[in-house]
Amino acid sequence: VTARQPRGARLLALYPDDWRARYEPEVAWILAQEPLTWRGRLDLVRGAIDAHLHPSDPSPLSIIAAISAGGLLTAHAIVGSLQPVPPDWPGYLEDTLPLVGLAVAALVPALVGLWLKLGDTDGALGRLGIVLGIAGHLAWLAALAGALLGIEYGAITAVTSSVAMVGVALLGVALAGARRLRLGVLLAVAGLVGLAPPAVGWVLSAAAWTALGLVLMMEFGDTRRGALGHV
Amino acid sequence: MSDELAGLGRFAEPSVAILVSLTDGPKHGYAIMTRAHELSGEPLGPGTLYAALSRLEARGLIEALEPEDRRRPYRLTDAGAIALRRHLEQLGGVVRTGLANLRRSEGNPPATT
Repeated sequence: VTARQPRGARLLALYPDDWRARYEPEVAWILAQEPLTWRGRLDLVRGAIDAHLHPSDPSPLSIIAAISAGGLLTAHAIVGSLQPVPPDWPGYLEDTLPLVGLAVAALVPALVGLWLKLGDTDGALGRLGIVLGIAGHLAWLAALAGALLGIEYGAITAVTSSVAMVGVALLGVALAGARRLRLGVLLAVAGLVGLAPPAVGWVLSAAAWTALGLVLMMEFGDTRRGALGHV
Repeated sequence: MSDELAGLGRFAEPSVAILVSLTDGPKHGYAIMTRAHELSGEPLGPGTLYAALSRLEARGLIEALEPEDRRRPYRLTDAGAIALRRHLEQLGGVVRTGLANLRRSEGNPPATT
């Protein structure tokens, strides 16, 4: 784009770098052909949001987050299962809260990455799942932080974690319905077993999240190989 | 709608107009935009156009040719032609049935209840 850039060309700065490298000269040429209406400007802004939400080169963040969450939940399950009377042994909060807190924090980007897998097939169920999932995990995280400060945690962590798990399960069903069967089933299992009693729920949820991370990693590898094959 | 196009969500309709615009030969973005507008009667903005083009390209339904100056032409692939044909044939069935039913009802209006 030169100093005499067409009207509306500045909006192209809203697009991600990889999109600009690929399409900007073509779109700038189009913008130079005729004046851009307000509707055209709005369309460019929507296109920029879409390009950020659906990047051609997916981020590995959700993979790292899902595998980290699986590892942390596994460590939490091991700590819990080694105690004679879970979950009320002396020092319970100190032993478990850092693990659970980090796992819950990691689950948020993992969920966002899985929601983005719905792409254009995102529907009401997927949106409800991601809203409940993120709101539930953030509220759960706040409840855990409150527990460290001495605020009563039992009932509130039970409610917030249940909301989070329902969101996870709904997102899993939405993914399965959108033909992302492996991811959808694993996510639905992660959500449903998260509602189970602690000992069983922790172990199965950890296994499901680890498996999700591995499936995401395989898909990421396939995408990268496909992209390299097109070069 | 065929599976390849149904998975495009809100970009499915613009994608059909884009694919149809490419049936008579490769075109660059501006020519696609103009032709798609003529075909559908709906203006196709550059944001929607390139969101749809990137999806169609990723699915192998179109392919980009060598750029000419700052313009890059796009071509319908064999897979794109198959997906478009399937979609148009499905649509053709709906159109034929709808028109036949309308003709029948115009000749013999149903009694109102």
